[in-house]
Amino acid sequence: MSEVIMPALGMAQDTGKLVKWLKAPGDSVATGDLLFEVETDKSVMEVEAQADGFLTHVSASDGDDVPVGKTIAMISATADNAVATPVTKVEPEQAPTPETMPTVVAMSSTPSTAAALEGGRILASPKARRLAAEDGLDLGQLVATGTAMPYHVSDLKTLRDLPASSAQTVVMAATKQITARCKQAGSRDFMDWMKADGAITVTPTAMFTSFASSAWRVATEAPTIVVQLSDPDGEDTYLRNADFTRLSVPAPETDEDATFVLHDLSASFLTSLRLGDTALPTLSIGADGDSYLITFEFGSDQMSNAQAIAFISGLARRLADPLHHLV
Amino acid sequence: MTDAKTNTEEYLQMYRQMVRIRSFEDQANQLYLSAKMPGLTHMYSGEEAVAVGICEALKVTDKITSTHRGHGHCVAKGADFKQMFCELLGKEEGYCRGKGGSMHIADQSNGNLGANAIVGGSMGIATGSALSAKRQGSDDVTVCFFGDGATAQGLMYEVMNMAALWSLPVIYACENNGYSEYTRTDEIAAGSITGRAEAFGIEAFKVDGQDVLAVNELAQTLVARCRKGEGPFFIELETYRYHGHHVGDINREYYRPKAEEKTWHEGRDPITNFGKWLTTEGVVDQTDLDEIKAEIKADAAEAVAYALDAKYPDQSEVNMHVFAETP
Amino acid sequence: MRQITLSTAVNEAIAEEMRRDETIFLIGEDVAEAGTPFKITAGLVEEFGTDRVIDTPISEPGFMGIAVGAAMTGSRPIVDLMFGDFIFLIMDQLCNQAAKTHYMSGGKLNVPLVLRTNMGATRRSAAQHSQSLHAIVAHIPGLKVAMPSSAYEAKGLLKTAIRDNNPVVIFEDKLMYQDKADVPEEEFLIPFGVANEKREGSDITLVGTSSMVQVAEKAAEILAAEGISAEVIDPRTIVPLDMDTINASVRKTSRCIVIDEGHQSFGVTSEIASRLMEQSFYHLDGPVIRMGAMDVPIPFSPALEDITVPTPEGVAATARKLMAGEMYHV
Repeated sequence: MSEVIMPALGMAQDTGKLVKWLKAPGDSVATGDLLFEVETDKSVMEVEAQADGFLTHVSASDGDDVPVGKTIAMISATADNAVATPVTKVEPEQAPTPETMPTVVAMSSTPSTAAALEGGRILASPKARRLAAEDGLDLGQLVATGTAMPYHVSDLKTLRDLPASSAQTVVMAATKQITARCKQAGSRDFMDWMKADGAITVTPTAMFTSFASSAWRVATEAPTIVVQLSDPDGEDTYLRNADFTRLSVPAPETDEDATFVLHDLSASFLTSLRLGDTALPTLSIGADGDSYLITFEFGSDQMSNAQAIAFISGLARRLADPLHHLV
Repeated sequence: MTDAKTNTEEYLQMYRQMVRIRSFEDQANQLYLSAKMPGLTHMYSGEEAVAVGICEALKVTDKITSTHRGHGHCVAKGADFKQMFCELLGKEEGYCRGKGGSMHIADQSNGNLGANAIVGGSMGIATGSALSAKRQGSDDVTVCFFGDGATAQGLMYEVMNMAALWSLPVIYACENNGYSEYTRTDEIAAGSITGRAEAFGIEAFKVDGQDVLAVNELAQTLVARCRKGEGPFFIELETYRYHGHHVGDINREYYRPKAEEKTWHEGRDPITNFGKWLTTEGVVDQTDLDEIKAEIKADAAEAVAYALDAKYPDQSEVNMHVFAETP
Repeated sequence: MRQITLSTAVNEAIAEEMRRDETIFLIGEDVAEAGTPFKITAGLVEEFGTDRVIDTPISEPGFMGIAVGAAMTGSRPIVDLMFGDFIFLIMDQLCNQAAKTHYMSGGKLNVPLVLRTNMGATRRSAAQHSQSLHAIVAHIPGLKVAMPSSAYEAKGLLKTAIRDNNPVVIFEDKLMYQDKADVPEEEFLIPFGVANEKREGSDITLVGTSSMVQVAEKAAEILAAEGISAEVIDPRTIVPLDMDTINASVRKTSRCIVIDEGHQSFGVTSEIASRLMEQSFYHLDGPVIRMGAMDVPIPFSPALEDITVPTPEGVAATARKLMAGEMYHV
């Protein structure tokens, strides 16, 4: 038996369109006989038989797009083997997706010494930044002194010479607060719907964790978000990228450092926590009547006002209408 | 046909080599059509007598340079099927460890300095090889194979000029197959091809490239004269390539009529015609010839199967051989 | 120590190597009796004969191709290309054939060939005889590129090039052929890929190639009088390139100017500056500045030609700005 294949006919073609069979299954063929017509990007071409025998096992029909190199029939030496099979449709194979070249991740040089000052960045040479970081110096203070940018290593001397009280590594900024309020109805309806429709129990805590992570991601573009879920009775849990897991599944725990703290007060009598403890941005969500009360505390060195506002607005929107945001 | 040799062994060797080239090319063409061969290749089928007639007049240490249509020269100069197929498929056991491919295939141990993807690109190399031989006092000869299309390259005139000035032992063999890619030779080469060599005072000869005995007789004479320091020489061989410029050049009636192809296939096939001569002269009979063909066909099929199965070079080889070691 | 000109140094290197190894031959235009228009190969044909010192017709692609073929078959040719600008004529034989043969043959064929040519402007030879094109060949894998900055380097690098089993392009500055330097009588070779610290300094690194090394040294003198200590590094070969030495210097000084006579854009200065940015980023107290020839075809008029190449005063001025932290665009 010899194979009849869809030949490679052009430089850029992966498939050929079988226009028409010129022989039928069971027909006798000789080398050189025209077997079928193929459409290339330029014209219609005839393909010749490469062997003598009987056409059989035809697996492509008129009009099919067949990948180049694929066997579409056989030529059998004897008539006995020639099967006038009903022609089966050939599914064009999916062209294999080209392996994507791994994208080179740009090394982002985000030295974390300088505070993210509103309205401006600090321009400094790589060496100045590195030395400042190594020595715990805050380039932000140079801005305050009115030293012209960009900063070079020689400017670090100015920094080092500043009076001791201002040369603190961390600027103790006053704690800021944002509060928000939204109706609980949307969330309750959502939880009920999940139960009824999918027999999935979604807890308020899971919702808060997920929605807060999602809103944080949009507001700050952080790639990894770890929520420190506070538990007054036991140990806090650290949940990673809770917005990436479905609500029906618990978010993965991690031992990475927390991005922000979440107090779920909804099942308690407390409605809000304003404790001025800004080691980490702190979010508390409590129930107040038929609404959720959202309180957020943060330090100016932790995020900008704009980011905080975007975060809380996003969280409130999600809580008010979860279905809209999930779908 | 002239009675150039009286030795049966030599005749059979020539016949064998031509059949080997034809079988190789048939397999290579199939590899392309069944989409198993990376890249493109250029078929030598129809021109076998040129490569074989000339290479049978050379010894192992004589050198040849080849063209993009180089499988014929490679086989004729003593190459092995398996390593050639491996090279075409980019496998580690190929002549160039898979790094050259069809258009750069070289077989250094047999004196094949390489196929060349640049039209006319190996003419300088061939002439330089002849210069080395002369300087080293060896009687080695270099044959430079090139097509009628390469007569359009300035390099040819520069090196023929120097070869003539310095009496270098090089034979420039122009395989005139009537077409330079997709254009007829008479549209790209003004005047006479042999006239070009004669302008430099180089003796130039014309021969029927389909007559292996005539080619061989001429080659023997010129090689002997080269060894005595009477070179360089120029030969124009009239021949024909059955396939298109490259394997994908299938729709070619727009530049070459099918009737013309038929004439050459049926009336001027070098293998058929030499076979007829051998049987008419009583050197062998038809069954012997058929046996030879069958044996070689099987050989080629086995080599292809081997190559398809062979391993690719390890990825670490990509950086190897950019530079040669200097002890 | 004796002092000889760059021209003599090159002549000596070729003669010594040809005495040592009879597979070496010299080929090019007017290399025999005429000794080349720059008189570099004078006397060689008398010693080695026309068999080994071969005059060619004006056929650059032709004799380059012949040299490649000869190199592939047991010879070690030294090709003399009269002007670096003519590299464009031989690009196929140099970059498609010589550079790639070892690789394309899977390591089975070698091309032990040296291409000697020149570079350097301000000779009033105009645009087609004044170019410095080393960056173009350095871009091609398979070619080594050497750039001697004095007679001493010219001899040591050329001998190494001749003994190297790869195609090596060596660019001599055509304006330096009569400049003298200390060159030992005893045999010496300079390895490829080893940069030379020509002057020690602590405030700023000046990396210079070829005649720009002298420009950098003069700039360093000017700066020293102003209290700025400049270190001068000569890479000697750009392929292979010794970044270890350059990095070490820049990490010490934290500032760098790269000076080269190729055009400023897409050239050697860009390559070295980029590598410094990648490899010594956190040690930089200022951007790495490129100073190449202006991106213009080299003009004929002396009034114009001289301003297209870096000068000691220009380098010093740039260095001052770098030191003062004035080099940035917001």
